[in-house]
Amino acid sequence: MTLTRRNAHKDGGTFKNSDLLWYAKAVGVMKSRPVNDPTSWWFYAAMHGQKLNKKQEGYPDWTFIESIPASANLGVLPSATQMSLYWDQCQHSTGFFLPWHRGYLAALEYLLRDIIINQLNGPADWALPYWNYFNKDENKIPTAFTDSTLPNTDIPNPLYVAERYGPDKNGIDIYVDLSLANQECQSKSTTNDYLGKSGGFNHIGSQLGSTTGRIESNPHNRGHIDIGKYNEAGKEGLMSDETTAALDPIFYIHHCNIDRMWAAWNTKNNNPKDTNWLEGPTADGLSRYAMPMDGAGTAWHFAPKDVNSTNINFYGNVGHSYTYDDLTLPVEAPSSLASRLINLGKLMPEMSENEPVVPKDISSELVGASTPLTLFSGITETSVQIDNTSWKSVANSLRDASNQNLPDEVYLQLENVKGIHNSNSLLVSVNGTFVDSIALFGLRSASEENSQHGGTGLTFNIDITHVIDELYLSENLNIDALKVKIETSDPIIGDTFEVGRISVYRVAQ
Amino acid sequence: MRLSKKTHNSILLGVLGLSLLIWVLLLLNPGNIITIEHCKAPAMVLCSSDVVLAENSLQTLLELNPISGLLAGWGLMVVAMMLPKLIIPIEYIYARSLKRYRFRLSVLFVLGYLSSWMLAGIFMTAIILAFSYWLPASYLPAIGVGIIAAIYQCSPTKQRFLNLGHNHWNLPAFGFPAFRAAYLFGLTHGLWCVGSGWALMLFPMLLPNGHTIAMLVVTLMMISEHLEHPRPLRWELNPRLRLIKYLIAQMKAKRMYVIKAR
Ligand SMILES: [Cu+2]
Repeated sequence: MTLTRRNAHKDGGTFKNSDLLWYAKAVGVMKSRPVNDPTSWWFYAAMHGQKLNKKQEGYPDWTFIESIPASANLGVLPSATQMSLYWDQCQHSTGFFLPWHRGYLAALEYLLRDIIINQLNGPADWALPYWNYFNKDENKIPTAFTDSTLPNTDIPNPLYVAERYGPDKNGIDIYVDLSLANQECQSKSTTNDYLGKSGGFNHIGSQLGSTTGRIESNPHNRGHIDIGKYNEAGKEGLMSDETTAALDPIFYIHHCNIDRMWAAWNTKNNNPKDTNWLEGPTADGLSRYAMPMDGAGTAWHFAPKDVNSTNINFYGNVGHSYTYDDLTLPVEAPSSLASRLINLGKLMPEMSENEPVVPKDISSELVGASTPLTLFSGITETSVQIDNTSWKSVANSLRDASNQNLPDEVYLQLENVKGIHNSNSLLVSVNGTFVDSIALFGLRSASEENSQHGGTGLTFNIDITHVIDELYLSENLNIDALKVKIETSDPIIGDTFEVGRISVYRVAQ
Repeated sequence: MRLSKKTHNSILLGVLGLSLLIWVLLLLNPGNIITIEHCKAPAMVLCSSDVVLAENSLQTLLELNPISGLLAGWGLMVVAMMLPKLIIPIEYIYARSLKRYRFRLSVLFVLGYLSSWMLAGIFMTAIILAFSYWLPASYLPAIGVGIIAAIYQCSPTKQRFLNLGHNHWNLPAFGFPAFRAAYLFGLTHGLWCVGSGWALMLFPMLLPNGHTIAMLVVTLMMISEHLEHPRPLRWELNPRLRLIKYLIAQMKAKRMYVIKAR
């Protein structure tokens, strides 16, 4: 049987939507189990990331989280073997972001279905619902997640958590802010761009080689920090931090939408075909991902190739197939190389069927950089010095561009951004043109020494080719510096962010 | 940002080639091209054990193994063993520097790195000499250091140094500050490397026999452990075999590819 994952906003997003009601009941069952049970809500959340056996002074250490009940028995941890096999697995800022989370959702869905069907006598076709904030009037969280009790009872609602503050930081209006979140990734990405890329041995997020996919930056990261945000006291919501995010039941509904977007994108685009992606961690000399499938902690091991489609086979013999009731792609003109060449006057519109060549080997080169920079709340302006010698290559490539001789692309890179405030965004402008907004989800963990990122912070890439094209067209390409303006969307918790360097790179193809 | 495949391959080839060349020099010394004799390189101090046994005096020992020669041998050994480990930081420097500076900055980085190991070398050769004086041709020093190394492998201190090895600097892009930073990046990277690897490095050098094999094994261990992700600090038994797992996986992938191609 192929399951159909349906819209959480069906029936107004209330408990009349039976998918949500059964989700709530089953989450309640998982929440009633102690953390050392591999099928408990707490154990599953810890698989994404946790602050429990890695002690933290105060929040977000789990012992400071009010919505975790005493029955979770946080004092008694699972065995060291189970913790090292299962906990802290989430993949962010790499090409394995989508496949890891697909396996994670499938395993949880399997457990929830077991509870719903065999324990609660619920419907056999139950599947995880998704929240598509891009649907008209559906960017508000379904009310089933904010009700304090289950309908017609005084049983506390398992889908509600208090640590959810929303873009207005009032704890009441929980929504995804569509002025910054968008689904451009669905129409404007290439394969590597969309999924992100693992850099092999350099595959630590902030180092060279690995990149964050477009779908991960926006809407995934945006959704996290909009829902979690932070309160007046400067305490972040669960969804704002990767070590607490999966404690919030909305996490899986948000991720279900990200998975749906991936499946929709796959109706027109292929996943990578190279072994390094398909084999994932094993190709890099690491272990496969693991999900516990029962109370004894029996593992399903998987690699990206096992979740390459929505027909999954646990252990190779337990089928788990699903689809979505909506796999449409937004209608937006894809940005193409041909249109760029036409804009630059390098290709006549009537000849645009002359497809530009496919680049064989792409190489990037530093062409400008700033000194280290401290960002304060509000606006920080700086100039990024351009290296005249290397900038000539950019100018020449634009001058000599044709469909056989592709012009350089130019990127602005914010390197080694560090801080503790995940639920903030950087709004970046170059020479007065707004170029991108960056959600800082994951910043705290990445800045922490002895974490998987080794304290190097996060590095962000912003395509500023169109800004440079404009300079070229207005014959102002002869520059010594670019003016960069960075505005924080919110006052900074911890007062500042550190930026190691703002750099400009040319990508020659 | 990504380096072109061509640049990536030339770094790989250059670094591995140089390392291999020095391995060959050290192990075979074809036609005695290097003036430090095989047995005078510090790792090999004890391989002339018959001589040492016969004339067991510090003076003879030093005559046979002049300090300058010992240190030069040590330096070569470090280059041969550690250079492959520097591929990742060298690529990092390449990716984040102006094209015309790339090579010079990498050389400065390597020099900085070697400075740290040479400094450590002074102490290490002293220890090796001391042992060969007090306990010539004995397995005791190697066993002792081997035990210390095994305990140190599991310690949070070691993990701390390994984690620090993943710290990659913000490099200034222009002029003198760029060059200074590259050297200092190398120097500190070297310090973290000494901090994590001193015991492993000392062990094969104290072996009266079989140091060549031990040296190769230690090299693989050290490269492998530096490829692992940073981890929280705690006592744990962690074999850190990522390099081996990686090589096996890549070989399997190649074989699959060959089978499919047929
Ligand atoms: Cu997420």
